[in-house]
Amino acid sequence: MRLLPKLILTTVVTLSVTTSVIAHQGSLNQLPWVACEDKVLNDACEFYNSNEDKFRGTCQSISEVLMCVRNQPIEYATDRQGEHTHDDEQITTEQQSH
Amino acid sequence: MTVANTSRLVMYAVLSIILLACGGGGDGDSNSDSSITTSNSAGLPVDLGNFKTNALKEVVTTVDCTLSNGQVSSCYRLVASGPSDQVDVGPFCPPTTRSSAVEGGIWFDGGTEVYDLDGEFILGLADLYNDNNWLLYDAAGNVNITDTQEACDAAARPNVAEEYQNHCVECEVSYIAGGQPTATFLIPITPVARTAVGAVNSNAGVAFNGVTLNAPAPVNAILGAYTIAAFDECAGHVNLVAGYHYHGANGCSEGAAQADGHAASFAYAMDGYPIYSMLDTSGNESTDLDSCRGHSDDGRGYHYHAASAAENMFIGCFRGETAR
Repeated sequence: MRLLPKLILTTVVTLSVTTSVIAHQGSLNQLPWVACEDKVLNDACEFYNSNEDKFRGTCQSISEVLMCVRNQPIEYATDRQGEHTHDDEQITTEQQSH
Repeated sequence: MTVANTSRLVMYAVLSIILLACGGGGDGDSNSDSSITTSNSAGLPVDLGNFKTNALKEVVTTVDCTLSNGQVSSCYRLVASGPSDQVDVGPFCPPTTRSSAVEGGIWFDGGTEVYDLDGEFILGLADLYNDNNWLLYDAAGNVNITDTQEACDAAARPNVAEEYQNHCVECEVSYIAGGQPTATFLIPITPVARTAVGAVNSNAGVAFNGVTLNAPAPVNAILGAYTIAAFDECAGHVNLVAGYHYHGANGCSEGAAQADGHAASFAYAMDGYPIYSMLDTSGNESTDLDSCRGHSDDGRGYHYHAASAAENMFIGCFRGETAR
């Protein structure tokens, strides 16, 4: 029975990479998962959407895969005027998602 | 790795995701190493009076149950009927590229927005996902919709055949032999806090109207086949395994308003803690949520707040023990 979670984890990661290549380049739907790619359970995580709205939370295991579960209110870019932008981080995240 | 092997691996992956995320898996969780990050986890007993009329198919019984920590406890055995006769299901896919928002449901992909599934959305898919292979409509502007059981089944399979790609996928409960499958939940009558949070692997809980709260929809796999698995306004849709189920909290099944302006509850998580909507009546979200998206207050004890429907999830983890 312990093989099942490993199989699922392996195949889910494979699928996420495969389908990212197949279609919807630039899609935002992978960001919560990408934000936890190099992290472990309960690590802090954050990501930005294309509007530079900021999502902060922790990496939690949902359906056997780590994803960034937001536990702070969304920080909308329009409310963070004056703060430095996160263009560099956004680019990095998007590159990782492809 | 050969192409055949790769295809087989992808097929298993899709099957795994669909089974886990769309209701084919169990209701349980698994232990994790994550530490509890807040101190007060005392919760109130489950109040069966929160469930809507006809939400439960059988009389609720109290049964002995073994929790995820091995402790023997008492649980309610709830047999949910899925969408009761008081729950509107659909609409899902817009019929044409000229359709207004009221003719279709919604779509969300884990980002920040819930999209109205109207004709304009269908026309804009190639731009939204930056991929010119998207074309969900014919020359007359009719949206390609899976309007038969065969089409529904084919479009929901892994390795979707080309003829069913570029479809808006919607299924009907009537396609399922026997109708909406019943879902049985064992929920601790009084929540028992756990020392390390538990993972949400399939069902997060059950709404007061009897609809199952599922783990995130596998939107990446769905989009990878150039399909949109349309949700209705309640963030629910139908598959042939789980029937009608929710993938997000969009204001449906809510209980009574809270006198202090707190968000209303709409479901119980599998660990017996209640789940409230994300925002209070002033439109604000709590700032002290723990890693599971829960916190405690004097009147309600420990409880969760669902994420927005656009985020394709409800809660981040289980703070309490679930029944095995």
